[in-house]
Amino acid sequence: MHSLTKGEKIAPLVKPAITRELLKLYAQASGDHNPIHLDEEVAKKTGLPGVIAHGMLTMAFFGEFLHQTLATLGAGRVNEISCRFKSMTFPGDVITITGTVRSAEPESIDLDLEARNQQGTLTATGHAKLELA
Amino acid sequence: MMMTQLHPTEPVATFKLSVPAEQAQRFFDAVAWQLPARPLAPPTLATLFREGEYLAMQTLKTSIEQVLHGEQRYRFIKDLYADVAYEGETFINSHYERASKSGGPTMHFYVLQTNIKDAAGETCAECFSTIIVRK
Repeated sequence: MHSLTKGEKIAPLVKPAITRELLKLYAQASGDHNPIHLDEEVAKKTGLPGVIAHGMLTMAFFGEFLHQTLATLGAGRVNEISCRFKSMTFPGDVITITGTVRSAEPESIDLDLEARNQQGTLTATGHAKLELA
Repeated sequence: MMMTQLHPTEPVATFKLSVPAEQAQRFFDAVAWQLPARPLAPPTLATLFREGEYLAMQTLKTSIEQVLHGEQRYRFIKDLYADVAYEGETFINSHYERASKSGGPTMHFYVLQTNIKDAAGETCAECFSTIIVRK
């Protein structure tokens, strides 16, 4: 039985700074080879300030955060996860994932998620439903 | 804003996919997963099932560098595993347009849905993507 209550903050997950190498690895693993994540010239040609990180990389950080949370609660699974991309993430950015309990039942928890960069800019918001074992 | 309801009952793409276990492991490395205990597959492994979206982009005559990702949602009915054969069906649920605030190209929003089914034909996951095409 967990002790989380509505409004409670979950311990954050702070990721290492995003590197171009990480973006290459993520492109290979995810199959998302969009050049705006890999090629500076193409990114600028499309009107972007430069290469940007895959939005799904931030969502993958949400996934890691949820498993970190589940590990502290014992066991369980992710039933639902969503992510809305709010602003761009660039190489060098340090992303911190936080979660706040939206609602808590004995066997399930709803969390509101946020991703922010080192300047505190909100880069993504999300929501997850966890089922506890 | 113009909203167009397309034909969500007709898939724009169908595909088969099995994610090898080593690729699932590469996925953990690629997101710099810091937890010592790894699940069998990360929840966003489902991003590998975006193949249907790439096929949909061909239907929409869109090149990938014009595409930004606006929103993503996954609903898991069953866990997804590596080395298991799945079938996917992708639908274009809706389309709407917005003018760019910065004077850039018009932004076309497409809401795509991919249903992932197992060999028994049971739905394991539903994936909803909002992609933004700048043209």
